[in-house]
Amino acid sequence: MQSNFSFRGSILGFERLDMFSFNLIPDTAFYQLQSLEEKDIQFVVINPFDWMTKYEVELTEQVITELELQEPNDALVLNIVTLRTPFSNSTVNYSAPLILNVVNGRALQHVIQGKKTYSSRSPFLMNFSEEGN
Amino acid sequence: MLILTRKKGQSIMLDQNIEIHIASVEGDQVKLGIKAPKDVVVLRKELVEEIVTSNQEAAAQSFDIQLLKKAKKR
Repeated sequence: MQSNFSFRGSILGFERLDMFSFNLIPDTAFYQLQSLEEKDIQFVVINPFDWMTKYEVELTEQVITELELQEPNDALVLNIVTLRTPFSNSTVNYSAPLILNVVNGRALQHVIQGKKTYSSRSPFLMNFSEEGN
Repeated sequence: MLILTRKKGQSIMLDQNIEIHIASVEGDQVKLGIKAPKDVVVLRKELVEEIVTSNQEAAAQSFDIQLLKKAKKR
């Protein structure tokens, strides 16, 4: 799998940025997308299927064309996390997932529209205790 | 900003491949039909603004790896 992805300005509010590196944050269930152009810009992201039983993203023709996706399994879906204090108030943006083509390294932020929508500020940490293990 | 007056049933063209059609006008609501190539993303502006805000909040933070380690998957 690629470790660098080209978003070509598709992350809303960060149109100036293209390349991001994608890595697991060691010993956690979180990943990091780090801008290769501005070192202060990074996103903590999750794989939604680690945290939510039912989540659907339709791969629209626009997404398939833009990412040159050959098959659905080539797409990796991620969601940006906003970490808050206290940590248990952190939220995840399920309404605008990042979709990565793991074969060719193209990626984009896709805004879900239509009858099934999600919140951009969904709580996702269940039973989290800062004292807990 | 360019301001144009259109009537119901009329359209405007952006370049030669994007058509914005005035489908209906009722009170302060206007229904638009948009015909555009598949690679053109059409979004409601308030939704774009919401995602921009969310992205900016998320990007402007450092994180405590110890807290991340404690957060378990389902």
